[in-house]
Amino acid sequence: MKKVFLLLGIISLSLLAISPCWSGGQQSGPAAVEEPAEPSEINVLLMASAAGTGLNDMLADFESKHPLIKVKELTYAPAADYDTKVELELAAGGGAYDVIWATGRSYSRWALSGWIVEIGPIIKDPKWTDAASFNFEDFLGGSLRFLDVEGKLYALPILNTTQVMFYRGDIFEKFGIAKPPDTWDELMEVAKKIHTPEVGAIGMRGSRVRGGVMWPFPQVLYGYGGRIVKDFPKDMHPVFDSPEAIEAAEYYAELLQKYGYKGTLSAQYKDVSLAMQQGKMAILIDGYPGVGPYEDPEKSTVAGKLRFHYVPGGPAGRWPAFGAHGLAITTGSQNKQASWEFVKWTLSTERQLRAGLEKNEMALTRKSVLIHPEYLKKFNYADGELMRVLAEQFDKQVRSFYRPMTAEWGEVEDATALAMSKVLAGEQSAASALKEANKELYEIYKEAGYYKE
Amino acid sequence: MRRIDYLFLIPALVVLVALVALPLGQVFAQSFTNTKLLAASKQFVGFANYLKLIQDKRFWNSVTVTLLLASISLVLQVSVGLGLAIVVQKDFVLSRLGRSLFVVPIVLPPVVVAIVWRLLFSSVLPGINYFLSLVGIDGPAWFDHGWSARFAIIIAHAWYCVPYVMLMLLAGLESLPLEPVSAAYVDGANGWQIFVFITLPMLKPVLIFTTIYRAVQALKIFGLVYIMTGGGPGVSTEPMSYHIWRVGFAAYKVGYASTIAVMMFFLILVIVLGMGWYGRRTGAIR
Repeated sequence: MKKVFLLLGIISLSLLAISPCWSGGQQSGPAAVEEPAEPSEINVLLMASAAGTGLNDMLADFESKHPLIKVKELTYAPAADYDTKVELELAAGGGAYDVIWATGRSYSRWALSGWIVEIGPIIKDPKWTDAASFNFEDFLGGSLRFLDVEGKLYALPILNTTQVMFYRGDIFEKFGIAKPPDTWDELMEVAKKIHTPEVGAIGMRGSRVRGGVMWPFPQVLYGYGGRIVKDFPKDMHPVFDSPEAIEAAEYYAELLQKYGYKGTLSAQYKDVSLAMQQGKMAILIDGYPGVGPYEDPEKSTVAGKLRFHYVPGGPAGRWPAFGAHGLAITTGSQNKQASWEFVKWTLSTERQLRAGLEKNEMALTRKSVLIHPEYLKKFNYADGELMRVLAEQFDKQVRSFYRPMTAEWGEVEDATALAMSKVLAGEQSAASALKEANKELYEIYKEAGYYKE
Repeated sequence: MRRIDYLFLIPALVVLVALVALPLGQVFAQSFTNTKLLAASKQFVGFANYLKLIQDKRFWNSVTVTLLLASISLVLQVSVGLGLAIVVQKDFVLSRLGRSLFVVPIVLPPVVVAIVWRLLFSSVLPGINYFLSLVGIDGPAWFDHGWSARFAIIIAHAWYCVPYVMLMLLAGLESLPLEPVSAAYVDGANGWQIFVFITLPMLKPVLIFTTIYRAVQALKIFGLVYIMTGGGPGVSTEPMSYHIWRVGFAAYKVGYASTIAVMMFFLILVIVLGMGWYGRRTGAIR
């Protein structure tokens, strides 16, 4: 347990090693934060995800602390439709929602479109924020950097994630495999040995939808030395058809086609999650926040059998996925102060810890919660193995960017995911599909003005 | 009509103009611009979007997928719907039960239908593949391959739409005069001959109208695709409506999405006019 504390301490320090220029909370102004003078109502829209799940049950606490603020509606929208729903609302300039979940994949676009409020100044304003109790420095620096848009902050992190390898200890033991694979090549070898028609060796997302294949695949792409663009963000010329990228795509297709559980080629998050709980695979590489249901004996046949390891690496090293989601206040909100109170409360140490302990939310965003003894006791999966893996990945392996999250990411994800979907379905060779996608990417970035030729 | 009678048309006309003509006009106008959801400005680009559309392989793929999904689904809808209408028209206990049972899909929202069928075709849960396994068939991963993903959507779509066809044809069957059927019986015709030579010809106007109506609906298929396959794998289940959504709300190119919508409008119009022409030529529609 002490090691876990130590490692998480390292994460905390390392994730905050570089302070972003908008870093708030530096002022120690008077603690007299102004409450809204008039009764106000706010509407909140959240993405159905692994964070914020139990907020409705906790609203009484918020409303008791802020008697003049009422949360009129707190709505969850499915992940697959979420970005579209929000964008239609925000593009119309509406203030139907005061506080929204800002997805990592769309956040910068919303910020640059002026749809959400810059909150750096709000954090610094002593009338709105008591620096001491808010404790801005307590948020994970990596997540804050992820949410940085041109040096400005438009949301505070509600979910912080990376992917890990979940593997079935009992199956590895049965096949005499002493240690989990560290490289993609080793993973292929292990998959060959343990794959059966009943229990597939591996599960990874293959669907072309938003948040589908282009969430896990870049880990393989970067591991093989490939990239989506040449040198993000300095040189946005696409290189998705490089020999390294083609090799990565061929590897991914071979792995999933030959050794994937039945259905992985078209799987989204909920599909791989369900299949894991049903015991349909021996290895899953996906986001760690989903671990709760896998380890819940009432929902899962594999509870207690799971072990955890790093995402494998390739010739160019390990590139575990990294992403964050945030809470933002809409520009159209008529109750910004009340909204800010809600954001502060939702992301407070007290509320986050409660979410962890009562609602099994693991991907929390404050260091004080992540090193809290009760949190560590609760999520002590495989005797703390998951925590150790996370600590190492967050500390040493995640990069400052994972995918090129510019305003064009929606189009880019669509083009690249479509190419991968064709490769996975065996409809097109990797070389041909990636070449087509690269041409499309070239036009997308050119039209966006990143280059002329 | 007296002049005052026209006044009573005004409320309906106002609604029609506001809800149909104006949005349609806006889509037409927008199809000649480079409007983007995220950009403040838009420019008139003439026929550039239409020229681009002609060379857009993904658009033509979506046309093929639309026609494929709609035509097979339509054949299933009309044949099964007609069969069910004939069965439930008979007066026996099960047919009365069937009248209620067969219309259940109508009351379900498309999203629910899509989710249910996605789960039924799941290779993880015990759905269709479980029943196949009972007869020794190892069912495929339905959404992993183009042909099986299309098959899954067609089955789900037909299941959802058959009750509409059944109800419309049942209404048609019940309105047919009984005398020709009685006369045919007296002349010694069997049940099949009566159906082919008496019932079906008399039902033809309703049948053609129902087919046109269902064809228009089938060509607009979206919800099932969105939930069940997301257009994949590849572009194998990406119909025009989904392509429009993708261009408009993934790429935010509202101008170009409008161009595709206009083309879709004309395509449906041509099909409907073609079917109407056939109906008039055969005398089924006056």
